[in-house]
Amino acid sequence: MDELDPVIHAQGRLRITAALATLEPGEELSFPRLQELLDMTAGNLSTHLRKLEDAGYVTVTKAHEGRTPVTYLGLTRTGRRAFEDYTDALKALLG
Amino acid sequence: MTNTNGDEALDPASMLALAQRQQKSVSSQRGSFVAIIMAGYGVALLAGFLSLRFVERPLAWWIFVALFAAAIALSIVLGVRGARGIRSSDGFTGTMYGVSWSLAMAGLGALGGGLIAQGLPDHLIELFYSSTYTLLIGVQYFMAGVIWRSRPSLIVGAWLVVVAAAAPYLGLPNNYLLLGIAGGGGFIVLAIVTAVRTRAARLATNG
Repeated sequence: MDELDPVIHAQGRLRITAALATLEPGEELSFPRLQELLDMTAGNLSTHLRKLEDAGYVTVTKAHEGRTPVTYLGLTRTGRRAFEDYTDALKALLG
Repeated sequence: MTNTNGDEALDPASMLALAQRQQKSVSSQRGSFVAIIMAGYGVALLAGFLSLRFVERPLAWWIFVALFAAAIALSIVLGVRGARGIRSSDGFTGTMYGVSWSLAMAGLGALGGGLIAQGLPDHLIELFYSSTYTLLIGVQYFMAGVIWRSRPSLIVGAWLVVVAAAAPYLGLPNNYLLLGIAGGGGFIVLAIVTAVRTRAARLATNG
């Protein structure tokens, strides 16, 4: 199992990465919308996102819509490739 | 297995299945409003064309236009709502797809106007407009299916093209029966299938 990317190899982070990988390149999701789509708690989602951001897989962009600050999340090119490599590695393991 | 914070991993097969289920769930949740838009167009086509078949003119035309205006308004409202929380640095495809609707609708309207100016008889005007607009909706739905990889859109689009092409062979006013029941009915059936599949995908992952 050592070839599986430890950043993605956790249920929460796999779900986040998989969800963000459905976006077109250049598309981003707001934090509340991602939370709604994944049905995760805000705290849990933040914790996993921080690890993904530290690994350089996720971009976190702070924007303002009117007066409310909104955080947008998207996959980096590295993150998208890491997700593809991870699922390929799983498929290879499963034969 | 109970999982509180999602830090644990499952066996490879389960992890792969989780990734696939999650992607399906997100895609169908993002497209969940599509079923309601389809249902709206389905009802507009069904009731609108049946009114053209059974109600006297010009009332039937007003019913048809009112139903269609309502369906378009519904699709705009839900489309905007469905796009909430999504930001794109490249809106080219979506914008141009929207433009293609207006372009084709206006072009077809003008083309029909030209035929009418050249003396197209009344019964042919009705056959022409009802089928060409239905065919246009079919092609546009098919293209939406191509762009956004949606099988329901591909199916309903192809089905509308077949129905629209067949309708004039029945002549007035029975062409409206086919357009309403097969065209509108097809939309409604697909709306139901899409809604059921969306719900199933979401339940499979998020519980």
